[in-house]
Amino acid sequence: MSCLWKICFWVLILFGSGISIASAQVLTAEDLVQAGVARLADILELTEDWVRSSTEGYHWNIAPLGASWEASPDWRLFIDGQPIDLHALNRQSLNVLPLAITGICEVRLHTHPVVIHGILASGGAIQITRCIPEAGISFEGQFSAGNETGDPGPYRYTSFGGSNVDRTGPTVHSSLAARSHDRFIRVTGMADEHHATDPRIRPRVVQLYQGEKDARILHRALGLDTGLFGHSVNAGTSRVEDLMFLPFMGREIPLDQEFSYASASFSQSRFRYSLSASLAALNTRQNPESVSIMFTRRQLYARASTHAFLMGTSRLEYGVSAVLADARFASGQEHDRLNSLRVDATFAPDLRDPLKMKVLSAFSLDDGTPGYELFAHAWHEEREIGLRLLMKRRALASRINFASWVTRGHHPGDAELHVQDLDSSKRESVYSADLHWAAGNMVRLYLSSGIRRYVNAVRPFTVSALDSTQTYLQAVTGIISTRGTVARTSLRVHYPVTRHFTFGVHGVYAYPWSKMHTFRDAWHHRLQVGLRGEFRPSPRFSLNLQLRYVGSSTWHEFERAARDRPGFYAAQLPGTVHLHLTVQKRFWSDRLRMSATMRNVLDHPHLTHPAGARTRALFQVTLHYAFLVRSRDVS
Amino acid sequence: MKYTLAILPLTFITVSCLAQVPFSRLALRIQGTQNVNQSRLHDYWHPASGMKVSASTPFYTGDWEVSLGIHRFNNSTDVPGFGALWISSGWALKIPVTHRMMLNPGISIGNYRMSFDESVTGYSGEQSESDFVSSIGVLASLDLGRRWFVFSQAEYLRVQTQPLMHLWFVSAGVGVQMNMGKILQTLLE
Repeated sequence: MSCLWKICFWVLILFGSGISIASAQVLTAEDLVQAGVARLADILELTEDWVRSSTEGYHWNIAPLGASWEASPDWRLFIDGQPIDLHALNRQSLNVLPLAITGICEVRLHTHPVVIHGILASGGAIQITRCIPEAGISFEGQFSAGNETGDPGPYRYTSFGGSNVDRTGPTVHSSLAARSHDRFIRVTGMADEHHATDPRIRPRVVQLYQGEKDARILHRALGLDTGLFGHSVNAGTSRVEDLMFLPFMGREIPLDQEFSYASASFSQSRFRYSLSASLAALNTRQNPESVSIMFTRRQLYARASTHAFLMGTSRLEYGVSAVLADARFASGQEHDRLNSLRVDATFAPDLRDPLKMKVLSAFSLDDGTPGYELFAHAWHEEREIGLRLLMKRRALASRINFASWVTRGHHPGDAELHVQDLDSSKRESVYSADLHWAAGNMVRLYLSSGIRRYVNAVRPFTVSALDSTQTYLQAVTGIISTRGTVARTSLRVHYPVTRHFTFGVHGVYAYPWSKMHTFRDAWHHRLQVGLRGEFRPSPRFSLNLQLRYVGSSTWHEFERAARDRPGFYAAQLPGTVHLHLTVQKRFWSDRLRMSATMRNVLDHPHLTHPAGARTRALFQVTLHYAFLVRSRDVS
Repeated sequence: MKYTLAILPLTFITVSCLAQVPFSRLALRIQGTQNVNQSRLHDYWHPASGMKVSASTPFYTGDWEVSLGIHRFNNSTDVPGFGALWISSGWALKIPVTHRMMLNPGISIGNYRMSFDESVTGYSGEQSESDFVSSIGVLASLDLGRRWFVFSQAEYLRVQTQPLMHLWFVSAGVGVQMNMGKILQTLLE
């Protein structure tokens, strides 16, 4: 990038000229249905500032562009205000969640540091909020099935036909709920299937996959959530018969993935508590090469907080939280624990309207290493301009992720892992500044800029070459300390053209710079722009269009593989245009809704990951049903 | 396919003047179909006759229709024959030509399911394959009175296999129109 671009960036950031951030992108349940979202990961198709990659089209590695590492994402997930840790060996896949799409009321995506119930999510956050069921008994669900184009059809029996490509689904989400006054209980069930048969990944997959049917990923999940006497209790468990591509293993490993969680929270008057426990487990299935990966992580999070009013209406909230993590490797032979204790205080002074401010300070003890977090957010409500500042310095142990376990001497599987000579007493530091501005009444403009500085950021860095059979990747992974800076800027415009037609454009650009290539190489994407349109000629019928251009991405870790097999692997993936179209119709007084979605309408086969399947056009049909028997006290 | 789907939103935006009472009537059609073109597919398979049933109803503009068609391709070389089941949903315009004649150009999308006489892959139970299909066609109908009508149709199907399957069909059939029942109208509205 030339010096001119760098200067422009600094000018834009310093003066905020025309670039600012909306506080968050909010997707409602209606947005999800109208866009034909069938899986949780499909939600990311609607995001404006998030990038994603996948090897098989089911598990997606996602990150807010320029705000969180793509290779080892550190964004936080919250479900109904509860922090949920999805990490399983450096992967966070939304599709593993035991959460029904149909129960989601709102998804809030933050691409900047944000404080949620006393937790500072420095790398952005996804907040999923579920709807409280309606009074009475309700039965709701969704059934989807789809097929990627590109199958050979009858040409399979000729010399010019290829092999089958992926089929998606059927995907079933269903829930049964009962509610009376402020008490409710809801049970949900999910089932999903995804075929991993793309010709690009199939040779790797079938090396280890053994099964009666063609290679596929199977997901089953159950969930429960209830609200009783002010207490909110959620629980869920999911099982995935997975074919998980692990970068440090260089191929798809057939393993059973389990994710279970339970959480409870209560808030009344000045007291609030929050408890959550999660279990993530990976166990390899039988395979011809006896590749074995066994990993189990149990984690407990607890927080209690209270608040007081100072000097009239200035609010001070303070809390204490603890995280206990227990991990087991290699059939339980290796066992380790990490713990973290944190006290925090959030002060919202009563400034003269329309000026608002919130300041958080927190002190932590992460596996015996002290750390701190300082965050301030000030904004002008009338002018809709604001500034966020962050200083965070905490031990690697606070992140409880793949890098933290490996640096403690645990090596999952037979992967080649090297740990750089890290100073365990050193802490990772993040410093950031984000400016945001919104303007307009009918036509809304949202602009944002941010800059983020990382010091002593510990992350895995994998270099992949081909094995002697040229089938799978031989990966060498280093756990290294890096430093660098990344700047981002984004724009959104929302324009209701007519009563029936709304239009929006968005764009985001991020640029990292550092003397260390290991820092620069962690940010694969730079640019993403898009537009969306929604046409509703009738309240019961809609057309939804999403057009997105994802700029080229660079994957230096695949340079050796690209040299070994240039026609197959590439260190640079070209930019791609995605066009998605959804037609949606309500029936039977909203009890039924049917949508037909075409993803990648232009049918440009493209890669989102150098070692991944080619994504082709996908046609999907979704039927959503909702039946309600109202209770007498409401009717 | 991209052009077929691009037509959909543009047409909806521009023909709002043709708005009508949606789901007020129902037209049922049954027709015999015949694939008539020659392509790479026909070097290996011979098309046999097929049939198709459709139901259409007035939409917010134009007509919304759902169709189910079956036809077969017999092998002419040492490849297995297959039967095809084509389910689609589409939208058509109504263009009156005379008092009794009407033209209905339309588009549809759906699923084209092929069931082969032999297994597709080595795995158990895999004897079929489904692919996305889009079509564009025109139907010409003649009102016979007493709600009955006869029609003929020319239709182009594009099955999204790799390589693509290009299929031209001509068909003829008979249909009947009726008022939509209250229950069905409530269900569809």
